[in-house]
Amino acid sequence: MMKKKLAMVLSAAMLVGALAGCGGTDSSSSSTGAKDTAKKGDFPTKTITLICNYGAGGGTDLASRALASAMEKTLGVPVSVVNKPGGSATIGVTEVLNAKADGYTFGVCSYSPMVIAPHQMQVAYTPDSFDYLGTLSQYDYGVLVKGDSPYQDIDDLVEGAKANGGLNMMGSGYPHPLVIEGLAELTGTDIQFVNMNSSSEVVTGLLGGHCDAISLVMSDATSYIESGELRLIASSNTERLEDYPDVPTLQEQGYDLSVQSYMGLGLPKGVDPERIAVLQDAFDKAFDDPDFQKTMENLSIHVKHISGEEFYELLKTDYDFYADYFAEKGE
Amino acid sequence: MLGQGFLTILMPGNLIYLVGGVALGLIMGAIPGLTATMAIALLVPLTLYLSPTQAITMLLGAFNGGTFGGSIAAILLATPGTPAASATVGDGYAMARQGKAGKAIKTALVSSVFGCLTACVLLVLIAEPVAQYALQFGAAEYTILMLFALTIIASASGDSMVKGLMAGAVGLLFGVIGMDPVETIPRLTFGALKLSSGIDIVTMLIGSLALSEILVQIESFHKRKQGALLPPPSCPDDDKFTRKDFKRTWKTMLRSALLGSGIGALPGLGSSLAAWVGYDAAKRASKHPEEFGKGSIEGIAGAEAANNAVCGSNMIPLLTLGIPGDVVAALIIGAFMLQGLTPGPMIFREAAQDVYNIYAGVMVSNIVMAIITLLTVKLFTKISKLQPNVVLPCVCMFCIVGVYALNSSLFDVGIMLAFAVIGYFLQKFHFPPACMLVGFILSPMLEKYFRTAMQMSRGSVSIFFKNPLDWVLWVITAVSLFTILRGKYKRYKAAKAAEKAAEAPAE
Amino acid sequence: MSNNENENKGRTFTLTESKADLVLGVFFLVFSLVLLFAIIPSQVMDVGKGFPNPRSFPNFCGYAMLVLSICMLYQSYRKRGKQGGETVTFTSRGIKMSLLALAVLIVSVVLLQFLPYIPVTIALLAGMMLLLGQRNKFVIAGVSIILPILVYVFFTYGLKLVLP
Repeated sequence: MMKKKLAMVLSAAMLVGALAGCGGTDSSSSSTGAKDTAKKGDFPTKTITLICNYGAGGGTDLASRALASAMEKTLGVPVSVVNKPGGSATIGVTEVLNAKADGYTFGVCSYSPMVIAPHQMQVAYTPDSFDYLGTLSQYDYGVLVKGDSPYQDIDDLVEGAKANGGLNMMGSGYPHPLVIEGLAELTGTDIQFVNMNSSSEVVTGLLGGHCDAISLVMSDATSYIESGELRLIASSNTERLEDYPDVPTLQEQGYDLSVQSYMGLGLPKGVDPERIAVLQDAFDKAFDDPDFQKTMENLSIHVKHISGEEFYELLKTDYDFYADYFAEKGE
Repeated sequence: MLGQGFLTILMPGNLIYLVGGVALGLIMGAIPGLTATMAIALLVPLTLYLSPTQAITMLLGAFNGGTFGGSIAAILLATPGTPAASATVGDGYAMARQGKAGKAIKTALVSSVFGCLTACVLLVLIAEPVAQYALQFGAAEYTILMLFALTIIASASGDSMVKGLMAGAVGLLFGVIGMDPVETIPRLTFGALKLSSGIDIVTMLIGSLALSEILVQIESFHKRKQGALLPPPSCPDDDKFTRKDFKRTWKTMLRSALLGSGIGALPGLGSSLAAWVGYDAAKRASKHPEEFGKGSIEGIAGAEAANNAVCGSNMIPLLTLGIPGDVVAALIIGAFMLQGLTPGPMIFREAAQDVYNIYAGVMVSNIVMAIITLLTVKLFTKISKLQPNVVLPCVCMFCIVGVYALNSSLFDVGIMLAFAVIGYFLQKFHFPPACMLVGFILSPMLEKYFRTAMQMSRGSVSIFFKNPLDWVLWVITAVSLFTILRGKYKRYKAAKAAEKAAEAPAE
Repeated sequence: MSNNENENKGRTFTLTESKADLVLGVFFLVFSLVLLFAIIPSQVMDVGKGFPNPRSFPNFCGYAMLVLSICMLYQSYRKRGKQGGETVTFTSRGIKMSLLALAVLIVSVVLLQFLPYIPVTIALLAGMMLLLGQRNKFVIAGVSIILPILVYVFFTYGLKLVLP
């Protein structure tokens, strides 16, 4: 760890720096265009931080990075994504809550940690704690079975449950138990929700024959549906999914269930309204950026832009809904 | 197609990214607190602007380099640079203290390269059937596998089974801290939100192995002469990996490489577990098990071959099924998706040549890693000549910085210090810290799989005996337990006989 | 327990194997009891769904520790009077140094909450080196100043990681 190793360290740093330089947008040394756009006054003048409440490499993280790249173009300063995962995605949100309200920090305030988690654990915020820029994407959910499964729709699934004395359905975290346990309650069958840590475990479980059906985020399912390994038998949204117009929703099949979830972005309360406007502008413009659109397409993420106010209303309503839901369940 | 892959990789435009990846991985692996996983996480955003071949081979090169780099720190500084190197600390550092640091590092290198290449061969030849076999593993099967892994704790406990098991229990308990895997409620978190995702293994590792070792060394500081950090080699052979060494260890390497490949192919397990399983297997098959923990070359070979095998084999479920075998693979999937490629069966139709480029890339990364290491190993061993009162503070600093950088959290650093104290007492009282670590690694997995299995079977135990695979696993576990107990019994009798012999003259 | 007064600075405090086991056994006994009856019930909600529930595993660990601690006490009893073996030794000077080192680390971490990275690390490195006996001023100054700066550069620009 001494002088010679430092020489190595330096040269490696230069190598990485060079790579980063080739990389382009998210290098902190390439803000050449920054000082040109002086019309915004004195905001922003330095790096902005985007806190992502999920780990690096996941769907939310990659979407955040795509957004960051796009917003950099309008703002003229680097937007750096910092991952603060954990606590069922509440740690990241808490970080945003505690950040300085100067407009240089904002973050992902996605649906689940805003609306569901607060009823299961102690969190320091409520939907009222933030100002929202709006949503980036909608998480679509669906019910899937193995490609060669005999179940063609939810009715078949329920029949199967009755015939076999029960069924196992896997899902990873919320809102999947809402769908699965909801089905169980509506039909009076023993459909058991089996919780796994990640979408990939859920898919593995289904493919390996360890469960009968799954509830999954659609962006994680597309490649398997294409290859035929999985088959979609219901859309858990209120509408049919754009990419699968032939598959009816749960409600259409007679089961009054639907779940929806969004990836939204928020700021801690108290930021100067002018600065919020600047960020809002950059955020809105991101959706028109072709690179952003392409990345989101590559990631199979369903882009959905809901305004900040609408998102806030949605969060408030559902927050109260879940308060009742969990109170009934007795947790 | 594979030949074409090699040609593509060796083109300078691509090669430079590969080399850069390996180098960065090596460095980050060697710095305590920064892990291979972190190196990859940092590189992923860079891959946006690269071709799929460049991107993925860079990431995999970093993984390979990182997993091995951790061993360098483990050997020289008793600090595992990455969790996968935790099994190498014991014997590696012991060897370093005997002046054989060079040999230890080279053994680790050879084993790592061997392990990864073996896994690559498997990857290229039989990825598909291996992946299908991996699918067979459901929660029940994993549970039994975890029980088998628990027997490792007993086996690693050295002389005192009780202390080993106790350390294991403590480790298991620490693993409980965090969210309950099934009910998603926090456990043992004492209201601290930061604890609700559990204790990071790196934090615990660095604290309980590295910092505690430093504290122990500091304690005996006034006794030791102010010499070099580590003694010099007593003979030139101590710096090299000789043919004799190879003859002694090649079987271990092969065995561990296969074990590591198997573990890497199973989603959810990871290179740390592979390292321990490989180490344990080496110990049990060795003709000199008493050397383990005191500087056994086979121990290093066993651990290193297994953990780098994971670098190759975690691509198996990734490429064939699109399912990540561990965190690193998940990050790599992210990189794939940024490229617009989707790992899974389709990828062989969409981008088969890219896949073969990647295969070639991983294999070449081993060679690159070997070259870089051999060029710089003299540098590393120079570290051992430095004065400890300079090196130790620097190591402390790197530990703090590294752990902080993981999650940008000073709280983590605090936890690391707490573990330093715990580890210190463990060491003073002759508890094997390895047992605590293994317990900690296994605890969440064991519990999650067991409870998930019970959930699926509605509480019936029959799920653990459903199919032939289960029976095979049970047998393996039973055999493992049996051999450990038998070994203990033999030693007990030998000790008793020695006591009798010692007492006899007194009468 | 033998309290030796060594010529070279400070006392040595040695526990025989038996006494060490006794201390450990008692410690873990108490710990596991506290765990089972105080910590776990207060920390883990009892979901009451029967086996296996969130408490099962921690309870299992607790009981295991209980049993093992009793084993330890038993071993302690069996080994009493036996000299040699795995003793546990503390020297007062040694402990002082370790504690000081630990204190330096803790203080640095606390300071990092308020002060930026470079000054604290410089102080940390210099402090520890002095503690451990390094006297060469050039080495101390050189390492404590250059290293943190290099690390800072590497991390912030090379790795884009944020330091305190």
